[in-house]
Amino acid sequence: MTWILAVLSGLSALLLSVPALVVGSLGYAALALVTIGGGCAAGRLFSAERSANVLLIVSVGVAVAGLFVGVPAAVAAAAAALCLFAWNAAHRFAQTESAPTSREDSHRFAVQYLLRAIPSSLGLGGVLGLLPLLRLSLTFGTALATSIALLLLVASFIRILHARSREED
Amino acid sequence: MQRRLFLPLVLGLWVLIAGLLLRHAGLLIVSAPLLLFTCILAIVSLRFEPPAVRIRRRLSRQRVMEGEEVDVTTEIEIPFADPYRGKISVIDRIPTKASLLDGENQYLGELLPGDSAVLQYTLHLPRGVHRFPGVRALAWSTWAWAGGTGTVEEESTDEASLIVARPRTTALGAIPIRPRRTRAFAGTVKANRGGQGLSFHSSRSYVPGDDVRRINWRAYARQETLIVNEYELERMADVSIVVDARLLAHFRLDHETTFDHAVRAAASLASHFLHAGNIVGLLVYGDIIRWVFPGTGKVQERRIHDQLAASFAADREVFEDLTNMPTRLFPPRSQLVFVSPLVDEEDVEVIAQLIDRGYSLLLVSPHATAWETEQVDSTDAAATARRIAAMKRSLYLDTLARAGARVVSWDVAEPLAYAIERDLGVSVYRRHA
Repeated sequence: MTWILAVLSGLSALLLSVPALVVGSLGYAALALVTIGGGCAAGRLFSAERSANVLLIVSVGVAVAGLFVGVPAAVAAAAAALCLFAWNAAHRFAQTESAPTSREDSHRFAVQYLLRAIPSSLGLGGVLGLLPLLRLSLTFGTALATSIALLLLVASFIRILHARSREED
Repeated sequence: MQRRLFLPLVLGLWVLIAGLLLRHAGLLIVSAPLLLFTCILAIVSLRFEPPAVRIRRRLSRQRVMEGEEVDVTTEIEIPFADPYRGKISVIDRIPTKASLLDGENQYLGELLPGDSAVLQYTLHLPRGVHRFPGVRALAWSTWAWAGGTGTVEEESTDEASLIVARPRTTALGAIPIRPRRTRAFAGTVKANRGGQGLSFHSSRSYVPGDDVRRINWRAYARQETLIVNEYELERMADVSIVVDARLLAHFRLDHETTFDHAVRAAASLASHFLHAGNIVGLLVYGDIIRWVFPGTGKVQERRIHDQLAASFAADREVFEDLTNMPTRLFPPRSQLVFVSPLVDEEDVEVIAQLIDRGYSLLLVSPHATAWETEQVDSTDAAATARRIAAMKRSLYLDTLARAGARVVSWDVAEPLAYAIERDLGVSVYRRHA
């Protein structure tokens, strides 16, 4: 499943570098492509899970850096979402690499995952990008409120998960 | 508790804090997918329950000769009542030493309750008793947000989870053995006693009750007394095959060891002596004491081959030399067939003692001199070392030959049958007459 990681990370790098080229930041565009592409290639040297963790950290760093060279926040968020799907695939499907599977099954499996990951990531970016058209501007206040709400939700679910795992033990 | 939730959560928090400190709305927006992703992972993990997978494995053959192939068919099914919906990977793990030649041993995709899938693959098996380690089923939710290990119900019989790859055997020519004691039943081993048989043994005076057909009329014509011919009795013999499985006695060749060759030789010798109608037992000395009680027939051949399939060379302090060999297991004054490369003078001494105690001994000593010569450099030092090793080995074998053993010095690069023909002076072709 390494090529799911490669496709999603590559798409994320492209997503960041194309707007950077549009705004004239050639250096950042090259850096994004080289960093994420290099991270994917270097991943072959380490275990799938460890390299995916490093790649996610690097990719989020590149996406955050893009905000400071003029890459739209919606595009950076979509790129981060793609990296998250890539990271998830590397963690979930690492053990499937240990045994061969038929080419058709493997192909169908990967395409199904990509068809879920790519549209939903781009959809998230699209929704964020289209908000100004609906006269809903993402100001600091609304973004902060959204993030805090999500954070609280995460905290509550993790608490439930923790309680359940303790019950199982 | 899923630890993998923490990385996107921590990254989301960092970006959120950076956004707060820099008062940057873009950073807060980038933190949103990270936090949202963590949130969804947590929710789906709470609800996810991996399925129960039913497995049925069939083997084309359960017993093969080493190096042969086995076709495996594994049927995977999710019970109809299971509420599972999602993706699944079912890996039918293959035995450690087996290699996958063809086909796939993993099903990857969606499998709805009531559906079934079939895996077909071919394994290549070296000598050994190969057990399938079991099936691993990994299941994920539809979007792969959550995953877990499914329970596996294996409906395969015990026979379908075990393959015995017995050692390769070769046909051997007649190997004359002369144990000092034979059994009372008719067989093929000459018992050195007069009676009914095929080969002339001796003559004696006629006593009433002797078969008149056995009277030697020419001797009567010369001596004017009735003389009867006696023929050599042919009887069943007890043959104990001893395989030296001490790691220090063997060495590694390209992808095998001399022990593998020793095991093949032992299997061939066991088959040979059993087909000749003898009572054959087996002792593998080195790892643990593997002992097959003496017996005859095809079932005994199978027992011996199974034991040899499971044998391996090991390094145990207690079995470092041959002095702890349980000689009481061998029937007194019977035939011993020793398959050993020999390590030192102590081994020679122990084997010589066995001969002194009345055992007839045939030593098959595997070595790989030709292979070694190819591997080492052609320096003077290497040539000297090689010469010393050859002399030492020759000394051991000569000592045993003088003590009364019949010795076959077998370079594993050549067929065992030819080594036996050369050293024992018998034909490699079977005697059918």
